[in-house]
Amino acid sequence: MTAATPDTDAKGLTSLVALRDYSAPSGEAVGVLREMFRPEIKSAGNFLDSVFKRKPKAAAEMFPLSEDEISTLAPEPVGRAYIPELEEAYGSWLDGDKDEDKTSLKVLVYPPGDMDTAMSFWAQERGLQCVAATDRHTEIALPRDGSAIVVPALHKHFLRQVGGLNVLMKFLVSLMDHNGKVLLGCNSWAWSYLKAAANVESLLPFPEAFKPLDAEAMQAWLHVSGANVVLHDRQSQRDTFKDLSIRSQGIPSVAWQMWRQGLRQETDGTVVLSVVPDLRGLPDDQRQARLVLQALLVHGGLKTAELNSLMPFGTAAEMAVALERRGYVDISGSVVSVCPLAYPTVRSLLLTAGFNSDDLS
Amino acid sequence: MNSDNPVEATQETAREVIRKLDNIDFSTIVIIAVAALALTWVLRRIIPWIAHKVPARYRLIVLGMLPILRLVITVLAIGLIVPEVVNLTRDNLIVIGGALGVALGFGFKDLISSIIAGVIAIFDKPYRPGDWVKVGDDYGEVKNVGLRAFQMVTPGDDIVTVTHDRVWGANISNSNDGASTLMCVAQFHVSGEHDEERLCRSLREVALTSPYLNYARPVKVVAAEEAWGMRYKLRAYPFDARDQFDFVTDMTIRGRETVKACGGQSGPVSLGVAD
Repeated sequence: MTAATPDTDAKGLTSLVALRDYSAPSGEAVGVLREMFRPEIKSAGNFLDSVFKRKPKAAAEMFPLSEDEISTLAPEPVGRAYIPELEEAYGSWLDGDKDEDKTSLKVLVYPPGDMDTAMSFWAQERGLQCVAATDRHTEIALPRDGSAIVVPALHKHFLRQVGGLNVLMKFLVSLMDHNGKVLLGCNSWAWSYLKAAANVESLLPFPEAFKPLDAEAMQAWLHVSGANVVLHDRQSQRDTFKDLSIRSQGIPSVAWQMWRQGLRQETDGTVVLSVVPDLRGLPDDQRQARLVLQALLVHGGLKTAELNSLMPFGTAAEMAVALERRGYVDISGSVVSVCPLAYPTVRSLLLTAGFNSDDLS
Repeated sequence: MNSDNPVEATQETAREVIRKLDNIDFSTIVIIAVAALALTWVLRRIIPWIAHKVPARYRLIVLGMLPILRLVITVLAIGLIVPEVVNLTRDNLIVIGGALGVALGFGFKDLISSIIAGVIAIFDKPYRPGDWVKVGDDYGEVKNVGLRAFQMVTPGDDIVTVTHDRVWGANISNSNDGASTLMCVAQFHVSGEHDEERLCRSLREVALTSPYLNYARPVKVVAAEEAWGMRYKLRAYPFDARDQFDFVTDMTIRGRETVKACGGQSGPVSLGVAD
């Protein structure tokens, strides 16, 4: 292998665990209850403020920062998340000889976010073949030379409709027959669905996942020195990042958005980290909204036409626009996907409504 | 205080059983009754609200607490009010018991039968709020379980009130029995030459690709030969029992396309839940 190896000295923020051992950061029971009833607690607080004529501090004395100020105070994390971790976890395995290694295929399951981008970037840096879906209907031919390949996003190789799993099944068979090593990435919602619909758990090896970022890893990744930002309510740094870790479920892309969106400036110039305001409620047809959000999570984003074809009602595209206005989804070009900042809320909404959960909980 | 006249003796006994009006604290009785009614009113609003907030798997458990709490409040209120009106001694209890027995036996037989059945239903749970039940020809979601009767809302948005005493004599079919989901069945009547094995696989795929599917539950296709052809039943669970009709409709419409694609001729299709 002539791959250029990236800087392997970089310390990883997290490490691999078997998927069944994954445990998302969670607060104490009181915190969970408080989170469940947060809108009501907030309304009660506002009511008491109006009764006792108290001025809510957040509204009166705190201001959002400009993009430049945010970039200065909270610089972009150094390097992409998960690149050193991928190298540490899979670098030597991919470099090894297939015949000497019992395992020729490994599965990495990850939460919705930018892990597929990180895997593609890492594969490119290492000079590995990256097999990405061009669309969800076309079969992809694998290289015949037995080289190691990285499939960053299995969830982009199928469409949840009759006949939509055929391409995926053929692709999986060709991956298992591949002469070289294969690192297969899949988002957790798609994995949970494919276990039932395509029996992937029997076909493929036991999946692995990166542990969620805890408070320390979160602080290290966000590159926070503590000197530049005063933390909300004078909490200790550890409590703040623990809180951020729980709210973001330890997902770097979600935490990064919460971190940036939560920065506020007080009248005396002090910059504080406050809780990101809640999203507006779902559009009126909440059932349809939840179906659209689940379809987007399972597929890791969809083109508008694909989204329409998956829903039994013909107004999925309009619903996507309504969800975008409320901050739940991003529409980039014709591709609709769940906003990283909204993901914890969306996940909670779906689980509360009885939808099947992903395996990262 | 003995009297030789039987009428006077009876009047005397009644006066001893029931306190004199001067001795009855009506304000206490009113306060207890109003407090019980207010508490019940609050619970009827707050428990469905909490049920809506908690994860779906706890929804029916929380809703099921409402009839139990209402029963406890009612019993407590009666238990507090009765001593305010009645002199509770052993002899008086026998007199009251006898009088109540006669009165209820003749006058309120059906009402008492319903209330007793209601108490049994609260603990035996043949149905509870959130369950989908079939009583006689009526099918719907149980919305409210009272002491005398329960109310259910049919798919046509009619409210049907069923007295609890129906449990003594009629079968009550409960489709989800406290679970948040229930089995739905889409039926396909297929005639003509077709690939049965392929059709079974394809129908399974129809359910597996429905957005309403609870894929933690099994999907089954059951085929049976009939005189006119083949009957296929596609059985699967939605993630929410309230989506059962949308789910069956979705499976039926897409299933008919699949039947055609497999070369079969689809006959009249009947919709239904667990069959």
